[in-house]
Amino acid sequence: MFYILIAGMCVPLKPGILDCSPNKVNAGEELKLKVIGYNTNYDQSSGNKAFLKFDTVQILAANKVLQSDPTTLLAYFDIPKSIASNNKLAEATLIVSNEVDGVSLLPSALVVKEATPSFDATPWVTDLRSQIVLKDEMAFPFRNILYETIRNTFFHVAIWMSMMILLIGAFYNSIQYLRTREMKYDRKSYSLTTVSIVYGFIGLITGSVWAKFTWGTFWTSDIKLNMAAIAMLIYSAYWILRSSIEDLDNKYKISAIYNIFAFVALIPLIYIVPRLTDSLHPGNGGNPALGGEDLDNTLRMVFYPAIFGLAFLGLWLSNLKERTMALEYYMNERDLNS
Amino acid sequence: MIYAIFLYMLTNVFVAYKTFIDIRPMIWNSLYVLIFLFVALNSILKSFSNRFNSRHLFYYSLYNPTELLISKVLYNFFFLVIISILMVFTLSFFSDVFPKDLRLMAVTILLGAFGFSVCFSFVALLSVKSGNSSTVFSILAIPLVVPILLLQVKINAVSLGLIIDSTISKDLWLLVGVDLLFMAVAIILFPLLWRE
Repeated sequence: MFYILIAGMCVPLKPGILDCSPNKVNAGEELKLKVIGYNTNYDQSSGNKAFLKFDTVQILAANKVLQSDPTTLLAYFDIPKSIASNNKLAEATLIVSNEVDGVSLLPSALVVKEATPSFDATPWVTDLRSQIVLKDEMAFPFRNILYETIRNTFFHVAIWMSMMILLIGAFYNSIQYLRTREMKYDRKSYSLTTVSIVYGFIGLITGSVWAKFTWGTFWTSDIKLNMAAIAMLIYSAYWILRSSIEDLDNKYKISAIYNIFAFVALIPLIYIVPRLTDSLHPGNGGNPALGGEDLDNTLRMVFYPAIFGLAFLGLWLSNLKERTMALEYYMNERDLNS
Repeated sequence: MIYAIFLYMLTNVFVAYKTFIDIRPMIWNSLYVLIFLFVALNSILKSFSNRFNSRHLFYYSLYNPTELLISKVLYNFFFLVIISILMVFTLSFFSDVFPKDLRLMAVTILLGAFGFSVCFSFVALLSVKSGNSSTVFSILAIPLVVPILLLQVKINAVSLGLIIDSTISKDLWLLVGVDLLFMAVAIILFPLLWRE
């Protein structure tokens, strides 16, 4: 867990482009583009290059690039008159490369108006790869809008994943209890569910802190958030059910049954319903968050250990709770028998 | 007993009408869903509360648990359907809003009432077994029906003409799926609970 905390918080973000101005230009003009970078060292490198990429064959190189301080760059482009594109407006991605920082890009950086939609081969750069510097280093990917909050992946997403693991354990233990009626299964399922509920609340809180920085508000009317809140309510009702039933014979049986019911109701709520509707939450609207394209390799190095670490931490906590419950139970029995 | 619940619902709608005065379609939708939730809660709770003397409990123990659950679900389902239909007409009487797509509304009423009845019947029988506390029943049951409620809100909005959604059948199938899921789990789990 220390590894997660240290690696998660201290690994720097890759150099990237924060913004560029102006955003709009007419075709056929000369463009003076001011680029603002993040974690960049523009003045330490001499080979600063800038490109505007419209699509795979139309890439424009900058005529002149000036750097004044580590994070500001001035690039001069000659926008050609004819740019082949599907719409009336041609959109370009800005690519900046130097040998200290490597490559960084800003998607949809520039919109070119009034371009003649035909392809003219003269001004375009044909081979981009030879002109840019690709670097491998231990740094997290730079994504616009997210910036530094990408670190939240290790805490928020990992907490929900390990909560699911713990809940599967609780579900299994509840079924075992109903089959064999042994007390240890009931203790295990109760302690696992308790730790899962705590994890769930932590997940909600980390998510809302992230939301404050990314979306501007702590909570929003989003389907995934609503379903997660409902899941938390259902499991909190499990707590209340457990504490309100006095009759010991029925207590464990009913709480095991409710646990199974809640788990079976939970799976469609959290996984199926958000996939079907459009959602602001990352990783939805058709694509799951655990997909291969959603994680950079540097992120993976911290993310997978985070899931394991949090899951084992939860298992350890639930084990401690289970053992305290067992001790209380046996002490009660001993008092009753003696 | 249906008259008592009808009166309860009528009073609710009347108070809502007096406070909102002008009921727009969006308010119609939220009123319908909220009043339906609490009417269902109270009616199903009340239908179980007079079973707690020993004679009825004895009768209960004679029945096959699965048949008992299914009969309760069906009875509550018909009850809730009738109350929903009455509520649609009552709300429309007090406001000028009537569902534009009646077929969709009817389907929603059927599916929503079925889902509510499965959930509430299961939790009510659970709470009978666990010492007949009504607060436990409410706390358990309300979060479980929230997905059904949310889906109903969405589909009602379409049938009232508030939003236009061409893929509404997706939501309807989702509601069918949730109902079937709850029913399946209830049927599987209930005999385990009832064995005594």
